[in-house]
Amino acid sequence: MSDRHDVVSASGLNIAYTGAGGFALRDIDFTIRAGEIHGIVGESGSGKSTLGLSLLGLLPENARLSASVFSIAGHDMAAAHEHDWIPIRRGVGSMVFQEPSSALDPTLPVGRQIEESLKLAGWPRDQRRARAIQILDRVHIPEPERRADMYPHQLSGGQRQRVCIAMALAPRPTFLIADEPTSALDVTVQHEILDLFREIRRVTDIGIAFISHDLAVVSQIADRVTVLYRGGLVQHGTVHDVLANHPEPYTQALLRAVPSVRDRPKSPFDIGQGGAWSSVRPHETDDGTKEVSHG
Amino acid sequence: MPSAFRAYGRYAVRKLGSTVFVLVVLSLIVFLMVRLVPGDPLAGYYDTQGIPSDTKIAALRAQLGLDKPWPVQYASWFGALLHGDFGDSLTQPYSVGSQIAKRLPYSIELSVLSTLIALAIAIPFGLVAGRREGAWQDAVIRACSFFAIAMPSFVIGLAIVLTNSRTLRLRLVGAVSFAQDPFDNLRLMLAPALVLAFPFAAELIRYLRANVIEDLKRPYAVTLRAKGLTRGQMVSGHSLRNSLIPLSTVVGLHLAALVGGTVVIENVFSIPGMGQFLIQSINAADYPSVQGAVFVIGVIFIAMNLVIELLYPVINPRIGEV
Repeated sequence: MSDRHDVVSASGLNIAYTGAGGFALRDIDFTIRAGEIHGIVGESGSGKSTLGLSLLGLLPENARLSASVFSIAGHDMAAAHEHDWIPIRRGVGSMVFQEPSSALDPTLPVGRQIEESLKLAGWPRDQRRARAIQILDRVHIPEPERRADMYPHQLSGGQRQRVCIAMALAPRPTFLIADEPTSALDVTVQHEILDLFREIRRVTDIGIAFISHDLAVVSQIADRVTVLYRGGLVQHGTVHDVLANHPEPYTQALLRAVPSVRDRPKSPFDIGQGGAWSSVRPHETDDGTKEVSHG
Repeated sequence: MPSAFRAYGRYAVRKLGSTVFVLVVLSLIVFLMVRLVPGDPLAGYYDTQGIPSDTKIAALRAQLGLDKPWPVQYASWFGALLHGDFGDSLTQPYSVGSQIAKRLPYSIELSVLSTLIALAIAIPFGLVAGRREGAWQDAVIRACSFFAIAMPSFVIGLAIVLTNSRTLRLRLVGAVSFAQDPFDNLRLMLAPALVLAFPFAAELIRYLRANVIEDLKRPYAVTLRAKGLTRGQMVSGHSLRNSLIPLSTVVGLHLAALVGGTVVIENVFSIPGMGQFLIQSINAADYPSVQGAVFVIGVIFIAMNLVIELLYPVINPRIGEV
């Protein structure tokens, strides 16, 4: 972890969906450094998943991307086609999704699915099985030899997400996109998976983009954080700078949305002034138009 | 994993138990159905003295057991059936069992052969159509399969027979038993099997295409894309496997339906199969023959269903555990 070079670097990134009108992302600067966790935070519709998907070329067909810099593991991918992305996805960059229960093929044992990733990344046949079991062990799946022969439905939700993480890590990628990897899990399991991400950062050199709507989660594990709102960049910097020292008004609003015991409503019907969502809205001017600050 | 085997054993026993029950119900329905159809097996009876008198007919009726109430008739028929005895034909000088033994192999062979041909056509074309949804390959495959479904199979069969009689003049009509001459047998079976396979293949292509398209929209397909699979690899490595479960049901039931449902093609190509036997027996109101034929066809249907259900857990590991 000596050098902290950028493994992913985007600048002036715009993404629009044709037919949708308007930009999903506009003028975003974003980097992932080797060995860090970079949190991407925003409410739904902020463009955080669009940003994550774009880094592996997984945007829908009607998406149009432009950028002054769009460098993925040293390759300029600003004008890349589907076939240009395939070598990147095979072992250079990986992705973990929100729903572990639907992210795996239900008809294949999980070990085989990890081996498939290794095969695509060019691992020789005789090493794949051993590596699959080793990586299952690394993500703390007990009895990895036995579990490798199990089908996804035979594992718990948390174990399935560990399998997805193992599958993403198996070919030793340079960077990893984790799109809300803990949002579908129980709170206790959520903590275990966050611990696993911390451990991955500690023992590997992989650069991780950790996408979440939950600022509390990101503040626990990220080194740097990027806050998005409606496709625009609100703020970015180290977690400490953004959250503790100089939060922008929108970030403050997101912070206030993190539930705490102190300001919990006394009854479900007590929604306070300004409606149930007043606390998460960015400050609204008197004429109803919204102001969003750019960092 | 012994626990998995035990779970599969329980699953198999449960399925077998329900199959036995269905068989008993089937025999009863077949028996009653035959007696509900109007007609009298002795209506066309005459002997060397000409048309027999009413008393003689009544004596014959008693001799054949047709004067007894139906529950008694059913009990004696079902009792014999349990010993593998289908009884004798009322109108022809043969036992029903021997006729079925002679004709069933042709029908089964024809069904299996046409199913194999249909699968060999349908799997590659269905996968290509699904993978290239909306492209020209998809359009061509869909147009061809639409044509094959819309065209009655006897039209294609007659067209082949007529064209052949004017050009190549190969022997296409008739049948030779497999034991007698395997090569001749297969050669003669090929044309009718192809004719039966085309509409079946077309149906399977449409089914497979829809399944592949649906499968590629499931969330796990995004994971596969993120792993670096091409669309072709996603289809051949995952969608086919996931489509086999619904496909196996369609193939199995269609295969079973073919065994009794190939009357027209048996006629076009003069194959002495179950379909012809059944039609002849119904026309003669030959109760034991109709009962035997329908029962055997029903048994094949049920057996196919059982085979499919026993195969499910092998293809889809989630069934058989719950």
